Amino acid sequence: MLFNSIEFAIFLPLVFAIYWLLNKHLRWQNLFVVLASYVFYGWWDWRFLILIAFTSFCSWGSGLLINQSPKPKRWLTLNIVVNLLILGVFKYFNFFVGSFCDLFGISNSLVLQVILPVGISFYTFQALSYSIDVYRKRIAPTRDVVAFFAYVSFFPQLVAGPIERATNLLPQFERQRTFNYEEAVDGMRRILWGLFKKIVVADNCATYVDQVWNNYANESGSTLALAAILFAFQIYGDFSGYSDIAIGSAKLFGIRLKDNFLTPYFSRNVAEFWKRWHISLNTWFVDYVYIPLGGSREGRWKTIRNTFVIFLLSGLWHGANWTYVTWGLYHALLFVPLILLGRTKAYSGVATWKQIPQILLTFALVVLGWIIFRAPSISDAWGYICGMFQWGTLRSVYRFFIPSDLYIWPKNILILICICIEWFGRKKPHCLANIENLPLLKCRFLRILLYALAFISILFFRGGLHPFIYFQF
Amino acid sequence: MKKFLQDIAFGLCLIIIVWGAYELIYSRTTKSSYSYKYQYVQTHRNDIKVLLMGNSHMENGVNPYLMGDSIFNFASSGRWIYYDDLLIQEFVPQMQNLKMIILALGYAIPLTNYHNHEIKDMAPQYIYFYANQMHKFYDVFPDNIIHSSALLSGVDILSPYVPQCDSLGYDPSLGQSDDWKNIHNVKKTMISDDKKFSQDTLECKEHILNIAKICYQHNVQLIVITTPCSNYYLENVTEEGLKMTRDIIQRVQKCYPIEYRSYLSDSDFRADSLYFNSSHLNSIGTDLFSLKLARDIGLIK
Repeated sequence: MLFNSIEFAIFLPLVFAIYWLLNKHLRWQNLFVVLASYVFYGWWDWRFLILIAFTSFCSWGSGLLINQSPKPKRWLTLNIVVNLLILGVFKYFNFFVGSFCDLFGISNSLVLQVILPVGISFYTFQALSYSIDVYRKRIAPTRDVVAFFAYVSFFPQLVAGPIERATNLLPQFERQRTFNYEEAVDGMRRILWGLFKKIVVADNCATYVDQVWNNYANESGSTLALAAILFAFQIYGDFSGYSDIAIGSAKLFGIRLKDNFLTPYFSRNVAEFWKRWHISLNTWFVDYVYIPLGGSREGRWKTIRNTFVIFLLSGLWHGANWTYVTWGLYHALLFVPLILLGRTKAYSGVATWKQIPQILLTFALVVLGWIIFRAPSISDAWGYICGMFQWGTLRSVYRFFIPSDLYIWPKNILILICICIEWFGRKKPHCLANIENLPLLKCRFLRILLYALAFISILFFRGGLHPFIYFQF
Repeated sequence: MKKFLQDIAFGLCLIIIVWGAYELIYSRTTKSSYSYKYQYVQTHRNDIKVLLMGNSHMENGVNPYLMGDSIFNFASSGRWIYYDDLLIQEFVPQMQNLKMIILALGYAIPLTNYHNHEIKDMAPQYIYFYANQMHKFYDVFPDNIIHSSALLSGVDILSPYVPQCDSLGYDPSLGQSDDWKNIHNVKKTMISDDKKFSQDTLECKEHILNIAKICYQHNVQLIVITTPCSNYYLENVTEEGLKMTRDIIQRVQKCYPIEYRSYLSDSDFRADSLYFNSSHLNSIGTDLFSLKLARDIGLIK
């Protein structure tokens, strides 16, 4: 079930109503969350439910065993192995076998005919974090299997994050939730903003980007550069839009999820970008891989090594393709000068007007990385980048501003609106937060009118239907 | 909670009011290809000599400008043969100079289930229309096509959503649309399950028979054609499906003189560069096909 679908528009209010009707019975309410989440997830393919139930059960059981057993590490290792084995079989088996066969010129007859379950990387990591946190005594193991299943499968963040931690989400399922008007309104605002970013910004960009990528060898340098920039907005609108809808939907149920994006394209260097982009995944890798490896405490060279490890793993997490690994490697390389110069923590707070040159430079570097990420293969990425810098890019740069250039002008305006709203709201938790404090919007009815008009605008300016990019991960 | 629900209800009311205003002020007052064609045929009924009928394969795939004078493209996207039959019943008896009707019969038409799509009342029209829009939102080809029924009922609700055709009814806009453009993607609804649709096949035969009868009675030559399709589409075409189409034509031919020309796998149209998607020609393909068709049936030499 997609967030931008009619099914979800019916599903969400229905679940909302029943959920709050069960408010006085915590266990039943949690059970209903599990049921609703399984319906949501099973909408793609009911067979995936077996997998998520198994993953949930293993992690829940391992939590109890880690706590009771004299050899807790054994149970933790077992749970990690089981979870990664499932992930490996479904996501990486064909990739590694194929790469091995390509390397040694062997014919590959071991191709597994399996469909990649939607969001498997997300919920596997979420389930893993619980058992690791129990092992590290950061959280007490829960005996409440229903609450744990709700934690792993909570539908707003199930298929594309944010990847939650048991320390934040599980306690929320173990205590009574209360309906909060301000939180619910903020949730609705966040859903609205997420829909705008996905349906208007990302889906409009996607059409142009796909057109250019399908025929990149014959496109001019400026067209390729523009498509690369638009892809940056597509993936941002797509993924952060999803996160906003997830966080907003969760708020309707009295659940607070962690932020996943904090205006990442206003970052002033790559290190800051990674503190603002897909925060839940990056903090996961930092907490469970980078810090156990020594983090930045054991000298610069080990810091560099550890940085390469987490970026390569992060690239691989995104998909079973060398392009993702290369993308991770590219970002690790961008980190090296920052580590050597000691500038990984150079910036705090939000960007100012004076820092726009740094922002643009960082954005350009990130866009270059997105080309590798978007390309079907390394050779395509290289061909695209070469094509972008061919003679004619600068000569025809004026085409950026011509309305007729592949109908991009309306899309540019929409992106511009998005950038402006995000820029002026960059100090807030999300850009539409607390808009009731604006002088013009103090009246409740005016605000509702604004939301209604915004919703209609989303329908009018919607792009073609494109699935969420991060579903494939 | 009560306050929140009040806000939601108020917001929904506002959305409905704004949408309704848009409908009344803009949608209802904008002309569509459908209303334009309907009115054109009404006002030029004595000028038209050749009428092109059928669905998008004809509307987007045959350009009357290249075929001669007094030719009008009366085809509409998504139209099933039931509506061609109704329109021919309505107009042909009034068209005194009409010499020829060229009817596009897509490969999947006799095999496609379009039952229960006769909607003439206002309320179902709207429901179907918005259901259709929702399908578009999903990028799924709708199961029930409303276009032609909207034209017949006079409820011109599709106006702002449908492309505008040129003065002779040719609509090249399919080739400019961002959506739907993938030659490799053969839509499920374009290739139907051969085994399932015996009832629809029979119904299709009845409509062609009816059209042939009207043409015969009014001394109008009927030519049924199947437009060219890409190699990707042809991969999904089955011998049973082709046989079903041929059988229908042969049975009608036993009763009335109709000519059938299949360009489905025509060797002149094998290049991918001639197609917009798997089963629709692009503007280059359309020009080539229009000229070839006009030569084949003797409209130009």
